[in-house]
Amino acid sequence: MSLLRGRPRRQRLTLAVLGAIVALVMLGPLLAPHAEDVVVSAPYAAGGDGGPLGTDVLGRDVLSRVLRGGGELLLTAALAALGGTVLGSIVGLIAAVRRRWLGLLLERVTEIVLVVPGVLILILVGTAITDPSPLLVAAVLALLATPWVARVVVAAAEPVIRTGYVEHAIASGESTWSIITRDVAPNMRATLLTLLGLRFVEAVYLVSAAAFLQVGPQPPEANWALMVRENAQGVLLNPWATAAPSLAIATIAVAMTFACDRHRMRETPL
Amino acid sequence: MKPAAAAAAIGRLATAVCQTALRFAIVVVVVACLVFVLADLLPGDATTGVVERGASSETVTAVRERLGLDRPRTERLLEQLGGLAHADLGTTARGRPVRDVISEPLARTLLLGGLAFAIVALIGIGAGTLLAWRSGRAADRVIGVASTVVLCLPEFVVLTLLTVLFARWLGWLPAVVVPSSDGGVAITMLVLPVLGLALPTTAWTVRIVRGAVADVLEMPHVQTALLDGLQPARIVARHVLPLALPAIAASLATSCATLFGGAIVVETFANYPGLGSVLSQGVEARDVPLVTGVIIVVTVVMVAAFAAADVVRGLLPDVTPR
Repeated sequence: MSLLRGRPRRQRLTLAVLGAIVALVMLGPLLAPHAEDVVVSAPYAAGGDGGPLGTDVLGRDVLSRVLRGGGELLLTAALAALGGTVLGSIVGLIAAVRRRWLGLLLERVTEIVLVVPGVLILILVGTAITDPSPLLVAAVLALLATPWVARVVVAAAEPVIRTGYVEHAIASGESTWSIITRDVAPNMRATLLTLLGLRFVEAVYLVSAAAFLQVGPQPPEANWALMVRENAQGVLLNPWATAAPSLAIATIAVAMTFACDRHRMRETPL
Repeated sequence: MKPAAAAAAIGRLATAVCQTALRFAIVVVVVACLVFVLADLLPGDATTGVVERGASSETVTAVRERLGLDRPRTERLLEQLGGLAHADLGTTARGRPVRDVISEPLARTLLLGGLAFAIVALIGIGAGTLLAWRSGRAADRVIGVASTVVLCLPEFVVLTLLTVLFARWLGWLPAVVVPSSDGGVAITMLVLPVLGLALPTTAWTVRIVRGAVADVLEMPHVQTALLDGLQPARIVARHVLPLALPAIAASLATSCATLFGGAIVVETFANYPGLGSVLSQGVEARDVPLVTGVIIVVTVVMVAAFAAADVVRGLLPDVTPR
């Protein structure tokens, strides 16, 4: 794999773990021994009776539901992260290259976004719309992330913009868009990739917290966050019914954070 | 301190407080407007939660009139903002004042969040300072990795894993909160929710404090104090923490927002009767006034936290490199 070659071992490891998880989530529905809403044994049967991880509150196979429950979560989080990073980068780069007032406006807007926990905004949307689609949830999260990303990008673009060739491009009257896409953004690849990864971790957090509060996926859908909520009361009977989906969310968040952390540490000024 | 200097310091404090108060009052009003407009633009309103499915259109119109939803948008917005000025949050779709519905749960959530915040502040500042002081040693590296692992986890994931460990395998603590008849909650039942809530934010704070303190430790006056052989505790208390405080205060204010959002999730998991359960009911009943009321209350608490951090920053010289 060309993606893995020439990188430090720890980063290779985190990328390999990430790849394995994504593959498992994608192929999971094919590997699952049971459908997501089939009752296979008594509720909260311990591991071994119904399947390796036992059964949940309704007696459904936990392993099958874990294998089926990650796709929507990951896809929503990935869309939200991508949308927020792209929008935020565009706004941030325009603010950095040309429009100083846009930077000041960003400061004020982040101040407002900062004081309202994102989970609450998702709850508000979930209250007014009975069944928000994953696409809508991703769009709301992307919009919430935009001012954050933009602020970081403005700060990170500062040294790039002060380089001679960007100053030359500005002075020779190149269009803002061409300066951004040809001179500035390519030199900020590492920062933008790290931002994308960190936004993904944050989006996994928010999407799963919202799903946990039943904004988005509805029962009997198999969804990791929803599984934790449904089976919380039976944590003493079959701990795997809550621990397995929790560990799944945890593994993804941790692997992505480490991938970004490595990246940030190796990052060298261009 | 000379009287004149003291008067100047008090004057500076007063100015800082007033400026911050004004700025954050504006934030509250803007958030209230945004939440109102968002709730209003989205399809479905409080009526949907009250009327039965398939009710006649006359019933729906009557309910809309009772809730005052038939009046023009600007009139309702102005009324809501006017109510905010004297702490009136309006009425829920079921006709009870929002303030009465949320006051007790708010107190319980503030207890949960306050305990978690105490842990975050104490351990965050203590461990962060210690790690910066011993930077590069084994403890620094181990805790550095551990905090990276913990800080990215959702609170309910941490709480689940703690519950499985302490309630199921070790059997030390109860798994869910069972309030007594008067609504009180035993302290042992609070341990797991508070820890689950506090751990990710503590990990985050440890990292921020470590960074802020490490920056100050490199400054010339601290190096001089070290070379002069001053006691480490004295150097940290007198020469390091005061300079690192603005960055720490800003981070602690941000963690208030994280803790509040997390508390709502943790409460639902642990069955704790706080704002989280009010919100869950509000979401289930599509009670828009109730949900917006909770959001505005949370905003006010958040704004108070940020204002406090701002005042701290205004008092101290901000020398921490960004």
